[in-house]
Amino acid sequence: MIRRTVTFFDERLHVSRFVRSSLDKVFPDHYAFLLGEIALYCFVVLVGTGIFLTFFFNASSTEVVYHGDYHPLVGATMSDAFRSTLDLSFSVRAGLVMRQVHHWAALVFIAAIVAHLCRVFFSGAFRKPRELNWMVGVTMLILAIFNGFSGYSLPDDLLSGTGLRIAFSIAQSIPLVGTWIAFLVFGGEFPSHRITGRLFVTHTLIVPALLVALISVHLAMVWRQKHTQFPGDGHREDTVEGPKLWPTYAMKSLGLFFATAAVLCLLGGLFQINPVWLYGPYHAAQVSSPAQPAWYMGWLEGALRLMPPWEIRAFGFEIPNPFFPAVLLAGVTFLGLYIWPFLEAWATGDRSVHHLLDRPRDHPFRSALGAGTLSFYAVLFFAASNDLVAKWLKVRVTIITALFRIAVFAVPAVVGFVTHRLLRALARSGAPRFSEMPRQALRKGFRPARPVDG
Amino acid sequence: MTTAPGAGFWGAWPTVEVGHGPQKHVGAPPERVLARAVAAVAIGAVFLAVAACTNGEPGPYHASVPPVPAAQAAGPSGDAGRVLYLRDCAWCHGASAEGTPRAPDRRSDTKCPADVVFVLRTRRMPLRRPEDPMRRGAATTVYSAGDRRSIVAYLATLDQKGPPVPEPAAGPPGLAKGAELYLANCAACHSATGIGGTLSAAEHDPGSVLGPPETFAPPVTSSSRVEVAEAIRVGPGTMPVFGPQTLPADDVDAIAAYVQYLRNPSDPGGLASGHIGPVSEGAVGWLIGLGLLLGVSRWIGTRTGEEGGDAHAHEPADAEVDA
Amino acid sequence: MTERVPSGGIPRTPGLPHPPPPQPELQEQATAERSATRPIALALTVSMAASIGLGVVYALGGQVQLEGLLLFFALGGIAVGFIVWGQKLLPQGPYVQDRHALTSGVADQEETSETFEEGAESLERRRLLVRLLTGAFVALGAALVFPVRSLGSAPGSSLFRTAWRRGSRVIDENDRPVRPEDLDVGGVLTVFPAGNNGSADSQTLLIKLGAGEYRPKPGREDWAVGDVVAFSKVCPHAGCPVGLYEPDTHRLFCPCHQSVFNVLDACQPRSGPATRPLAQLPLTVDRDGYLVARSDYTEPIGPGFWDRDR
Repeated sequence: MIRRTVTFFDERLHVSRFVRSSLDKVFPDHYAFLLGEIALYCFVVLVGTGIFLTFFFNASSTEVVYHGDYHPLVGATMSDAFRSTLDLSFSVRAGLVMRQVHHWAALVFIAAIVAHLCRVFFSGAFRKPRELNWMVGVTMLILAIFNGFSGYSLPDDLLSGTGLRIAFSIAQSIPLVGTWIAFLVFGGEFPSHRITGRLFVTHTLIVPALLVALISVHLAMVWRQKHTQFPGDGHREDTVEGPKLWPTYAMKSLGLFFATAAVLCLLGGLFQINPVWLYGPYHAAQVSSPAQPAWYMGWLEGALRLMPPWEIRAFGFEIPNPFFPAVLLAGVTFLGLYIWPFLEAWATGDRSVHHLLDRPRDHPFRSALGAGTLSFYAVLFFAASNDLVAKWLKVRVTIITALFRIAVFAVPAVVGFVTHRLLRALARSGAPRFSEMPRQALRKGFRPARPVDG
Repeated sequence: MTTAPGAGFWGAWPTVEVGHGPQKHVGAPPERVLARAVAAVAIGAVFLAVAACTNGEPGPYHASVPPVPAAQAAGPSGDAGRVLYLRDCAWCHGASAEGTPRAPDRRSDTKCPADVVFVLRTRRMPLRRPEDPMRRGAATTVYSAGDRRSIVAYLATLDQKGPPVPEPAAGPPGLAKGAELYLANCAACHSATGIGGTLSAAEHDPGSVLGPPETFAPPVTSSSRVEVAEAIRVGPGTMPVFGPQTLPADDVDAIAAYVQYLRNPSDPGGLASGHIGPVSEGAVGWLIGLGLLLGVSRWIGTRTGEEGGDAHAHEPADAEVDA
Repeated sequence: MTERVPSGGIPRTPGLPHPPPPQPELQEQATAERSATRPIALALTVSMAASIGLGVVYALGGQVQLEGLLLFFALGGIAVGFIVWGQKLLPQGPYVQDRHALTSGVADQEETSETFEEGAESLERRRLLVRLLTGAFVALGAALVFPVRSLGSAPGSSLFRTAWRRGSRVIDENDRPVRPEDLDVGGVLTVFPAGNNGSADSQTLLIKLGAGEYRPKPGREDWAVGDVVAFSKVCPHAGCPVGLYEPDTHRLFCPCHQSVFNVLDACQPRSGPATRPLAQLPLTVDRDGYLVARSDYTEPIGPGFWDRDR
């Protein structure tokens, strides 16, 4: 049976040798290398549940009166997009679980991407020859964040509509062309009746198509260059070790796919997410408090909240306040991410090919910089909840904001410094892990009692 | 590497030899990884359950002065309201409710008597100290409905001019009007889900008797119909006033009915994690979602030093080993 | 490193296993296999049962929590099956494979560059044609950008105006006109110009201050009517409705980024990222005693933009 299949395709496409080499291909299966796969499988779940949702969602701003199964809003006026979301949640069998799995999958998708990015960064996997793949990955992160935002803005509820209003203002704040960009993207002054339809097409067609293409390129490059490996266990620069793709790695990877889908379905069934029926349909003069975006926009929201009331006004023109924390910060962030491999290569002078990874201690400066930068965005992320923190601690929100403003500079500096010192000590001591590092290693002049190999 | 056993960084840890071949460290067997994952989920679930149950409301204080039955305190004239007022309220509001530097005048206050009933019913008054903020349930004394009426009746004899205690009807058949009104007028401070929101917590002008700044608008999910109606008409604390011209009685009824719904809203999707929104959802997504999947990855993948998984004993390579 | 076969990169010797581990005793192997097959079988059986359960739940009308749980077991059972199978019953290796050098060598790269250059040579010689071709593409590209202009209206003066006009009657969300005496002291009401109920840029807050509290900026003395003032509800920071009014301190608090505006000081921002006060709407009353606007706002409402101070 298999023989016949192989013959059938080989006689038409000459693929026998390629297929054989693929089946024999060796894949390192360190657990840290599975993060990218988790992201990939989240994407698969997103596409699957998303297709189901598109069969019911109606991306229209037309005002309708609701007469569905959610009693508290029967007779209320709302956009058809909101109505179709309520129908999905209350009137379509399996609709709510699909909607919730879809939304949880989006949150976990980007979380997995960020975790994967951190692993790649701290292990130096972005170095030559993998700079291109790093840039493809950063692009996919941007696309994923955008798609998440556009996705939860589709139901046109009070919370996401507020987010769209803020997005319009941010676009508007760009110098010279801001108002044009905002008006062209939204199709007029806020709130235009066109934005829901445009978000829908972008969210369901354009960005997923781009993601599929980029994922293919990303995986093709990993395939071609072979995966990196951690040093130790006899790994070398010129070989790759692990199980073969067929049957072992394929089995375990499929298992990871089903496990990812299982966890997402567990969340989708047991944990309510985005209860738009409680937020109500979007009306431009209404707002709810607290108002936060999804977690992956939290760093931008925190920056908007922490930014002092500064703006530039000169010669009859102005660069409004939201430009700096939202546009400039985002631009610098992603630009920095894109150029990092080249920046590091230039700074270290290291232009050789690397297939063996670093452990964080092997490059303490990079690790410290990474840890400090990560903590910077983490502080911004937590600052997005400053009003909730104020409420829980019963402290004035102005005080909380002031503390966060201090923290956003102090914490990264401290984290970077401490990380650097600890990793240098760890490398100096030669110990395999922190728990086995002697305290004396923290001192500068420490030499291990026995010389360390390697 | 280490010179003595038990001299590890964090205390007494076994030493490990390096430079003499690869470590035989096997790593956690899958059952232990799974157990850890389950424990993590359980802890996370407990955390979430606690978060879901707390709504930021302080619990009631215990009465510092056990309430004497009014009939006993009233004496022969039966003026229970006057006795209660003089015992519990006069020390701040004055013997004839004329006000003192500690508390405002209750006679010509345009909010009485609905305000009085509101603050007594929701146990915001009497305060333990004049500078304490008014918080639901924090009063030193709890009054019965009869006692409340007596106090209000007594104050009425002192020339009151405010809105009467409203008596909201059961509410219109549909909740949609109430939902729309609530979302338009109340959600900005009290949240669309009724959990309450943060205020600016501005300091009051010096010399004012208003007490410390209120840091948050309280949740509405413990309020009865009458309390909602009272609050709307009275504008207690730093809440605005919505008079009959702004929100007619029908509208107030509708809002009160919707707030009753918010005490037990429709949560078909599962655990609501406090109805807070994206903040708690992000926490669940990271802690439970990615957390579980990290556990699964640890189970599926190998660790450095245990190459080859558990199925076969691993023959060490003869290459040099990094320490 | 060994020489590689030309592009395709198929290693000549695929996986080279390590020296095989010492063969476990047959009995040990059988036990090992049995101890793995049982959990796999259990997991897959649980999965099948859960899938059947899913069908039943769906047929009976569906229930979200059950659907989620049963999906978890249905998918998770297969996951466990795959993973344990992959870990216990399949060869783990590790196998070793050579990495072929990614570079094809300087000579090869030279040859490729030369091939390209040879082909391009004939193109390069025809300078004029190449220039015209470039021009054609640039022009076409520019022309294809034009439909982008159809995406939306020009900003024009939209951001400088709202729907308020001289004499626009003030209406609330229920289309009712408003008199100044309709508000109580400490009251707030969201209003719109008549005919534009719900208009995003025209949304306005009516606030009734206490007697004598209104401290108008110069030139705005007659913008209030009987202690009733009107301000734009659109936050000048990022456009959120500034919905939280705190009457006892006369503050407006924006829930999005916590800007605070002092109503008594013409809504000057006191803290938070807002850099400008809320615009004030001049009010008066018409013959019937209803509130009307004297004119539109005298400055652009809402967040800033490049040429706002034009």
